Amino acid sequence: MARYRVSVLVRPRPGVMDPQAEAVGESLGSLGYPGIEVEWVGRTLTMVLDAPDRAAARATADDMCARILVNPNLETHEITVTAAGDGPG
Amino acid sequence: MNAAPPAAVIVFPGSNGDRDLFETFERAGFAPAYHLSSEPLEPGVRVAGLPGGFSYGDYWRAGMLASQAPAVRSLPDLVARDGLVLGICNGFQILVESDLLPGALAGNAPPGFRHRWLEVETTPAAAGPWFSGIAAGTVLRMPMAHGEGRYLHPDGPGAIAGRMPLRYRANPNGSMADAAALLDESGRILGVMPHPERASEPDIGSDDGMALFRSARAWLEGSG
Repeated sequence: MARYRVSVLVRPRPGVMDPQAEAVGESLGSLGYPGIEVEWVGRTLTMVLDAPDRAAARATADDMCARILVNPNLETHEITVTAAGDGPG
Repeated sequence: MNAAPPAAVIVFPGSNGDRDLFETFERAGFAPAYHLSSEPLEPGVRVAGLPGGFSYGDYWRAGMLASQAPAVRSLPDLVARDGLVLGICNGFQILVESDLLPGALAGNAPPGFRHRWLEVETTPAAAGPWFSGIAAGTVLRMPMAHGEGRYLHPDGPGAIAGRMPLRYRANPNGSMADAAALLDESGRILGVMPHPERASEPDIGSDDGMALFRSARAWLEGSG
């Protein structure tokens, strides 16, 4: 077994309206940044876990996404797996 | 007269509409009791209510963490016993997150938390335990108070046409097809975004929400 750091980025599915992105974009515009288009607002979860190899760590994260972390009606996700170092990610 | 049907008001960490729901069940002739979400429902319960609020602080996605609670996991058993389920606001979000109702509830469009009185109208899909005796086209006045109530179904409005018992007369959140509520296929599980339990006495603005609770009680008494 080895220790892996897994990051899950969850973002609005393309084509699904993203009111948060629109609101943040408008706010940035009002601060004097012209031409801003915020493309989307998402969220990231980072965890460290033990797995036999990198593929197994990714498979575990995929399972978590399918079961609870991602609502496929609204969201899509990307998983990044790296070897875990000593410090927090 | 039949004994008052036992109603469980499921209390999650972060619920804040539990007392409103308890009192409305009581007013409608149920025998309500608070029930901690960490325990499965008892077999004697005839109706379960999932109240409004911010269960688990709405962390990650509203309703997601609460959807895994033992009380929620026991809801299919209640429905299999011909029981009824009502999820209001955050309770509706929990029912969607637990796959007891289809689709998703996304952030309001335009974004923001909105709370005000509004009107919903019953549709031809308003039938079954929660809507018996309420004619299609009936206007009900009740308050809304949510930031994530934009209902979406991946297959479009046609997928919910027969299961959408209430529509907003003026859409406050961008919901598909103006959907304000959704039924499961059996008609026993109802998720509703505005608050019928906060429209339970004329002195506070409306008692239109009582119609749903009275309908449920009559249905339960009729079904034994």
